[in-house]
Amino acid sequence: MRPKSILLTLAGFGCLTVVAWGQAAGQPSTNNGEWPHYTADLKGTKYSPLDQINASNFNQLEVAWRFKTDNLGTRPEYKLEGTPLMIKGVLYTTAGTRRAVVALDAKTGEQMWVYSLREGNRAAIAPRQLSGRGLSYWTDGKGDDRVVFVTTGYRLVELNAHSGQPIGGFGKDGMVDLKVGMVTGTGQQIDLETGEAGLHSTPTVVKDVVIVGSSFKEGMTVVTHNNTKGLVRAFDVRNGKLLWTFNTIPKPGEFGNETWLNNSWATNGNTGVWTQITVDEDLGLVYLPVETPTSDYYGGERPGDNLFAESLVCVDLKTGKRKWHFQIVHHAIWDYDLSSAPILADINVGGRAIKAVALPSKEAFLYVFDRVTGQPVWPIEERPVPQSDVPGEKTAPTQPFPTKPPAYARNFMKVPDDLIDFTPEMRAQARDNIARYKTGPMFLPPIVGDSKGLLAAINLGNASGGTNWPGAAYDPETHIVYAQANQSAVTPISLRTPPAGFSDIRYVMGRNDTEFQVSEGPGFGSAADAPQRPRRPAPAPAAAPAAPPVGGLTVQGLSIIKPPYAVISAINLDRGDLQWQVPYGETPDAVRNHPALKGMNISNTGQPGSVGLVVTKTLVVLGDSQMTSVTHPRAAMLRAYDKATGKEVGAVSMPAPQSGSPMTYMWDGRQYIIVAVSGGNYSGEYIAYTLPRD
Amino acid sequence: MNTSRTPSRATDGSTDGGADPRSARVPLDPSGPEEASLCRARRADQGVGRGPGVRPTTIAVLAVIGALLFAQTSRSVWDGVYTQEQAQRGEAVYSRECASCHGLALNGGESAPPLMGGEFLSSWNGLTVGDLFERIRTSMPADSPGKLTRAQNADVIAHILSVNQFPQGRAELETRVDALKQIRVESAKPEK
Repeated sequence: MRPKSILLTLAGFGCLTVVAWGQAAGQPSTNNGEWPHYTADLKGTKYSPLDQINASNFNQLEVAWRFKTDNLGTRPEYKLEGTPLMIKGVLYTTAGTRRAVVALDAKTGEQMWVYSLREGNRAAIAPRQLSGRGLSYWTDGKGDDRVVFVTTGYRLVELNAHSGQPIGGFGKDGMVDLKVGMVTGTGQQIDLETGEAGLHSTPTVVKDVVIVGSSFKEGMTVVTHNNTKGLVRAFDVRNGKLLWTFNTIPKPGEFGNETWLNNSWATNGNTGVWTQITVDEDLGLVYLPVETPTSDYYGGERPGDNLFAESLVCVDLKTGKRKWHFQIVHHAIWDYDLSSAPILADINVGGRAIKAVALPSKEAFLYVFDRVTGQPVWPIEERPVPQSDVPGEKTAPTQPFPTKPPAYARNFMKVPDDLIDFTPEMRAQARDNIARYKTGPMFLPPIVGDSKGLLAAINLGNASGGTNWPGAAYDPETHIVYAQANQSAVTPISLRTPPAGFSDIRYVMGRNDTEFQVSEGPGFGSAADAPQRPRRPAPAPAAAPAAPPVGGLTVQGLSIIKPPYAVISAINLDRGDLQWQVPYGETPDAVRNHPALKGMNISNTGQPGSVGLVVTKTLVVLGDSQMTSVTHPRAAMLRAYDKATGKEVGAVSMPAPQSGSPMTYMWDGRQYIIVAVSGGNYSGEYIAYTLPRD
Repeated sequence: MNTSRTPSRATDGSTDGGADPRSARVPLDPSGPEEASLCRARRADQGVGRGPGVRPTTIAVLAVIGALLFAQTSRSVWDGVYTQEQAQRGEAVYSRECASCHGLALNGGESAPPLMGGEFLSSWNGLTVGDLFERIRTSMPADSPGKLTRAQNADVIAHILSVNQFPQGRAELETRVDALKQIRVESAKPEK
């Protein structure tokens, strides 16, 4: 190449770099119409600047292609939660009960290659099963292109993005055994087959680093408080070499160890990071949303605040060293976890530019910090909260409450105001029913429930409410966060002593006067090889006198809490207020067709559920969590809302509820929206929508 | 699982109504008992026929058969399609095999959807008990699909119908899918 040609090439290269808004050369970007990360970008925005699909034509969307996932495993999957990536005309995603990786033609959906690993019992007993949320992608910009994912059995695998073949130079034969280094107690290596550890979020790939979290079974009925300890680790993307480890339960000598009183750091586990990790590539900072320690509802075996449980932790990308942290819940006993990807937002508050990080949550608070210093952008106050009377439990005297933005969904049940009130009879029944439960403000501690007294303590938004794993989205141009939140997840929490021989923990979820039930993790037992799993030892029959029937948390078949059941909110991060809020979805058939409500004019109640969304140049797009029959016989709708007002501007039918977070891309001149659907009798399917050619 | 029952117009992205799938949801299954009896009736009628004309008695017979067929194919979960005893058997199976994920009260959990109330009914409204039976038979219990016998699956469905306050009747749910697909799941009680 002659010098002049080189200069021209370099000039063109520079233009491309500018167009890509700082993206490194050869790196995929939403600015190219691609979707290169689970959350669109490393900042967790789920934002794409595409605008071919807009309010004027959303109703015209039609199915471009479908990809059915039934045969990617030994049985169909009914809980498909993946979000594909699209890079250079190829979609990559996980699918099926064996968590296969597939590469699909972005235009036609044709399968280009498929990879899966038969892990036998290791996958069958894994704490996070089914196809997971997706995968990640790495390229050196020169043709070495790799797909990175975590198997059901907790192995980190890299594949050649063009062939689907394992990368020989990565780890051993293309994989790193992530169970190596996972420990219990003071450092006892877990068994590589039966030890409890897994992950179904996607690894975070930044520069030449892969960051991987960890997760475990549901913590409601644990067999031991000394469960596997959570970790976050970083590996060299080229060879799989371990770069750093961050102990989410700090060891002696590490910051925060003293928050585990009575040396309880050594006898407790969990505290993993099971949702998406985000990164400020320029600052070299990583944001870790940490979950609950063992166990979800009882912390008597771990007195203290228990750092870094339910904390947002910022660590250095190169070293994994803690930069700052903020504990969202002290001494966690509500299963609030930190469910959502932290969103990195460059905002402007009162004329001051702030590099912020905004954390959506099950609490329906958006916790906003300066992401460099960890200082709250608006004050977060420690306020007194109710205290536990469960033997052995010592709750924290205060919990953090943000002063701005306001809660973007209902996060506790106010009695009687929040009770169903379609009719006076329903309200009266609701009051009778709720009288059997303990109610109060946020952070109401669990109780030992009893059919002769109070049955349980009521909380909202902790286990499955607010914004859950699909997270929220952010428009970097307008500085607005868009969040869907479930505000009808009424969660009664009661504790009981475990049956003899079942566990070493003092209390598990349940009631002493009802039959003991083990709560399993999401999709547990559904992996392709699940029938091979050994059953847990059967708990000894509990003394379970027949409990008299009592009023439940439904009234004439409807939720005891009044609508809206879920909402979509636009939260302005420059002002710290709600720009708009609308019900999510539309009124369920169960309400619309209820005989007691016949003839009544009931405004849109929205529908319960937690779903993900995608934000484009002008639209917020997300799908229903329920089937309805209002405009279509048996359909869930994929809806578009005007970003500026929240007004619904279009809808297209889906054959099953949205079960994964949607994404969008542009290829060959056409914009597509892909959504994973499944549920009821409909097995997992990716559906690509696009506009008609004519 | 039966995806063919989903009306194509409802899945192709169009936003207009399309045909009501309920009219196509209860087709006569050629192998089903109703079709067989219809064929037998026609043969008997042909045997006594006297030419191409249709006699009033023939019309009457066909009308009765038609009415019976309508009665059969228009059954729904509101028509007392299970017995109390069957639901009690199903409750025992459910507690043992299903409750750890779906909850003792069928109210679901983090790992599985509810099997009672609005969310459950919205998923199955307009489909058939046969669809539900096949979903359970082919995929449940999640850790060991096919573990339950057909009779146990039917018993569990009887329990689910009972908890959802659909009326009990005098005959038990069958275990043949063809027969179960003649029973619609209707979340709202049809108006008489």
